Amino acid sequence: MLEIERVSVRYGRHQALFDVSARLERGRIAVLLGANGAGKSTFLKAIGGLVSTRPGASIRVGGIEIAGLPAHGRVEAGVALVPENRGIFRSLSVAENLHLGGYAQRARADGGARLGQVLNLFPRLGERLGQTVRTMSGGEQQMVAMGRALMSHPDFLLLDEPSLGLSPILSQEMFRTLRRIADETDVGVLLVEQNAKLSLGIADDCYLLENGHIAGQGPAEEMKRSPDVLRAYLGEEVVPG
Amino acid sequence: MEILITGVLLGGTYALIALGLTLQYGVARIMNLANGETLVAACFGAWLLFTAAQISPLWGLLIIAPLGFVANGLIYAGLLRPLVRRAVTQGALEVDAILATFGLLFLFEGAMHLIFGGSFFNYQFLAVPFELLGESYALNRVVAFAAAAIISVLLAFFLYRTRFGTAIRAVAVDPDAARLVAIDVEFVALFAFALGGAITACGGALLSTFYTFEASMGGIFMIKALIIVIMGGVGDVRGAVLAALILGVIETLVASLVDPGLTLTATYGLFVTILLFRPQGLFGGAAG
Repeated sequence: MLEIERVSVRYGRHQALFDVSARLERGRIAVLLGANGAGKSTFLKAIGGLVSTRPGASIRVGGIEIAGLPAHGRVEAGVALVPENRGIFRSLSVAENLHLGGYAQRARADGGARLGQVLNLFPRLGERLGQTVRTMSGGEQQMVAMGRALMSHPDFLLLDEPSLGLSPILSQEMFRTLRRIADETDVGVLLVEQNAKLSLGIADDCYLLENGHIAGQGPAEEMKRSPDVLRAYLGEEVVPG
Repeated sequence: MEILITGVLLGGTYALIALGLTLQYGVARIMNLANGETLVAACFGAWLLFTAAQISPLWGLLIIAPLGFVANGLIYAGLLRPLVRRAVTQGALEVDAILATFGLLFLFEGAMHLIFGGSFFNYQFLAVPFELLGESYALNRVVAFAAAAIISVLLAFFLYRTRFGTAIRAVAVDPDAARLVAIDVEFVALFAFALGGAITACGGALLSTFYTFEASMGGIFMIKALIIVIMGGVGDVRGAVLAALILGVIETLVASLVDPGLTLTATYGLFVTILLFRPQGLFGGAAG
């Protein structure tokens, strides 16, 4: 269980997040929806330790408090982050990225088996092991980023807009793979997305973030039919009745 | 041939000095202009150990390298890490670091001037002829080259074949991505800066066995190291070694065929040529 409580983040005078709380179980997918500037990316960075949270925040993985740990310590605690810019080593090969992905202490045992698992999820990476990541397409780079994160043997995977820049077909494929990751590897996935329709299609839970506040939450099935979500994120007219 | 070998022997020591600087700049992202002062301090250290305690400079490395490691580690932790923490961008950090280490250069140079005065120093260590391919060379130069080669190979083994070495290279490539794979970037930067200092100190100790040194030569050697690093490509171990050998040969060529006073001119000429035609370094690919 990943339990996040009272996370507030300030950039200078601007407060980006106000006491945001959320929880996620392993093997489930939660999607965080919100407009640009709502604080979605900041929220993921705060969990991953890339921005500092205000005092009072609590982030627990399996009951263990990680809010005071630096970024590398949180990876060791089982939280892997793929930020907006993907966070990969662009000048290195796919194989080197995956190898470095498994640098964490917690990933050292059975690294070979985990590599097999990643290549099974992303067969394309197996064909491109020697290729320099910089020369790959956006979709392939996203695969490298997710593969790199999975190599650290995470309990929870945080993804910032994995569908950004992907074609509709590639996006669908990517979301199906996410479902497989949750189902087959028992990893909990917290996903920030603009693509509400596709992400709600594979998610179990949904949070709505507005201006740094949680504006709504519930099972993805229900949220798909909520008038607020329909209007704001799915671009549909709400038919009364 | 004689010139070539003399140049390569000199280049071996240059390579160590430059490897120290490239570790500090490539991994810790600090362009350490005071790097030459570590070298000069190591020269005096080796001289002191040899003249006062009859300790061979080679055994002296076992004392000087750890001292270089600790001293540079302390400089990083005390003076440079606060700059790293407050820097908003990489560019801001580079400017701050250059100013801070430039100040350190004068501080240390002044301190060594105060202690040792402005005169030239040397000592007689293995100053006997050594036959190589029909020509004779000073044994101290050959031994210094061999020691430099061994240290470079050990460093390469550490960087390319160990887990922590892999982490150091990952930070050199992309510190932001390195954090995300559980690498403690702050610690790696500190360690690389300290290790760079130790390597440069080894270069200084070896240099002192065959080179006449004085308190204010740190700046010149820092420039030479900088030229080698840029020629070889920042953070590129192979490039630094090859560039150091080239620089050694060119300096020896100019000194023996043209005029010893023109070596620095030749060095700069080479530097400008490389900057104009291969700014990414000898082996560097297109910028990422």
